[in-house]
Amino acid sequence: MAQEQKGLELAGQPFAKHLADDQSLPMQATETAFEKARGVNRVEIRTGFASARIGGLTGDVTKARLAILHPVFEAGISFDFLKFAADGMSFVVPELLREELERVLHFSGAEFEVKGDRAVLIIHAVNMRDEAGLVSKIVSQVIDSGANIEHLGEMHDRLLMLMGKSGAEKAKAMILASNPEAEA
Amino acid sequence: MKYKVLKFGGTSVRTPEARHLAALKVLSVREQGFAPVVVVSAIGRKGEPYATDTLKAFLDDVDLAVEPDPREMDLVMACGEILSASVFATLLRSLGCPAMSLRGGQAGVRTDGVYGNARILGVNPLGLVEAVERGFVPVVCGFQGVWIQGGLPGAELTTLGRGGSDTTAAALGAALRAESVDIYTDVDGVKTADPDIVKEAPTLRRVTYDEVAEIAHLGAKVLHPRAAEIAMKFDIPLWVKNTFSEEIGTEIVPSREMPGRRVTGVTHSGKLVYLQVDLNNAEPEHVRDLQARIYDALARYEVNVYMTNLGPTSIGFAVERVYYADVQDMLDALVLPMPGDSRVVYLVQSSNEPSRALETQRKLLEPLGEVRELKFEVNEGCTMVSLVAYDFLQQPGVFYRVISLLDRAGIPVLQTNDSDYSLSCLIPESELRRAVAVLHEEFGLATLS
Repeated sequence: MAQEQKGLELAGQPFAKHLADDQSLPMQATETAFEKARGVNRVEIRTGFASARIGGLTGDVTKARLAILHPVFEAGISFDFLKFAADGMSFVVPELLREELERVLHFSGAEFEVKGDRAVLIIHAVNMRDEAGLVSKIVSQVIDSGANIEHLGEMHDRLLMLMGKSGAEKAKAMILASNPEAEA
Repeated sequence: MKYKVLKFGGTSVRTPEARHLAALKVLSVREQGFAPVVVVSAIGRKGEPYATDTLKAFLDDVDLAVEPDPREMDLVMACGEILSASVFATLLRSLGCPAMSLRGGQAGVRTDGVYGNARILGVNPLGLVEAVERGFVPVVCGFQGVWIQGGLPGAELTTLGRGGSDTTAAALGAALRAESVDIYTDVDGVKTADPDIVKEAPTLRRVTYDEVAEIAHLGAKVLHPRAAEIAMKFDIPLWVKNTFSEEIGTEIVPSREMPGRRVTGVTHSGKLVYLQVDLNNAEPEHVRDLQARIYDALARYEVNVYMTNLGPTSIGFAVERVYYADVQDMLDALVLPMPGDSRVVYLVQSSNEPSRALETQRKLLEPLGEVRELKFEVNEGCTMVSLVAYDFLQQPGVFYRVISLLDRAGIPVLQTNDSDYSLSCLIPESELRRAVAVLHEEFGLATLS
């Protein structure tokens, strides 16, 4: 009872000064902001990409894909965003390597289409996985903006989407409008 | 005063023996002249009597048809850490070390008001500082904070969601400008692969915040990315160490301290289900609307998706197996009318066989227009294996090397995903162990440290 009246007393001194977790405790100058706001934090666009789509593969599609990728690899062409479709695949290369890629694909005999002037819309969102449904929401919003998402990749703190440049600008504007705290 | 924050996870406080070893770590830090600040998780792992999930079940089981109130759930879940902190403080006292347990709010952890997944807004460390100055080792309940709001006397208790105790430790470390934050667990540090699969997988001595965040994102929960985010922002040295060994552990450092191209490790996710829908059945002008509607439905039901693939003729994504039944229910017999004058109505079939609900829906819709089915092809037995690397994946040939290696090993790759830090392949779950092993060997990770 005596302890209740004095507050928590340890080592002979009242000890309640800074331990009360009620709202009477003022926010201290030492208090520091920590975690970034949940959801989208930043949106940026990177340009200078070309995308390739290969279709019409039949038979052992896995082997056929590798047969096409091997000369791409041999030519020293770095590719990203590799996605498999039932009859082919698609991937992204730097715009500078577009002509070289077209040359290689032409020799492969595959049915292909290469599009230049592609942009990557990068949407930063810390710990996306902990925000249930966030990835789906972003994808849905970007499609609603009228952008045509051609490829999609993700990492722990960002979602990367390949599309045409004008689509990327529109999508960026839409995402920023619906996430006012996000930085451009 | 030089502070060190030591965080002990559930396995480190699970048994009296484990707690004793953990307490010895605290005493050792104190003997070295540092002021230890301890953060503890709830005792034990899922299914054990005092673990968070067990406590949560008290409310879940009250009425299986009704979701418990999140505020009540937070109070119940926080009990695990309160119990753990009190037991640990008492143990330290029994070893002759003055110690006192503190709830998250008492340690100054202030959050927003999102029960169950609160975000730390700030930490007021004065209570901790005063406790230390008076000779006590503070033992702080991880995973919890308080939301200062005016409605009720006192503050509202909140829990921090996934990785909450790691996040508490990093936040306290930042607020105290600690010399280090040591996350104690039951492994020697960050490994190049799951040691249950690759026994010889070495422990990495150093790894960057981004790499460890990516490793966690892709399945290996050694350290939660939220903790890495805070430590990175405030430049606090962060370590992952083993309570049960004297190994030095893994230091998590900023990228500027660890330049150079490298492969960091191979990680893997849990069980996934891959769903892919063929849109060849759809009118080309409807494809974008269909994509948007399906992703909008997934967002509304808060479904986390992996391996997302959008193409002109297909949509594909993976979901965690535990949520698959919910996703299947959500998508099955979903009606997607198209805008404008279109008389085409799309109807989703989310499993390999049509359900009764789907057949009923179709009969109801047929008089209204042309009903076209969007049938998802479902692959239930999948998992994701990932290569995590730094400044490496942009090199020509790495992607080809990975998929051709898996092909040579006879491991089918169903889909891929890549980013600056990782390259992931969706594979049959039955091939997981072989896939991890061959990638680990191919990239020479056994000799890495």
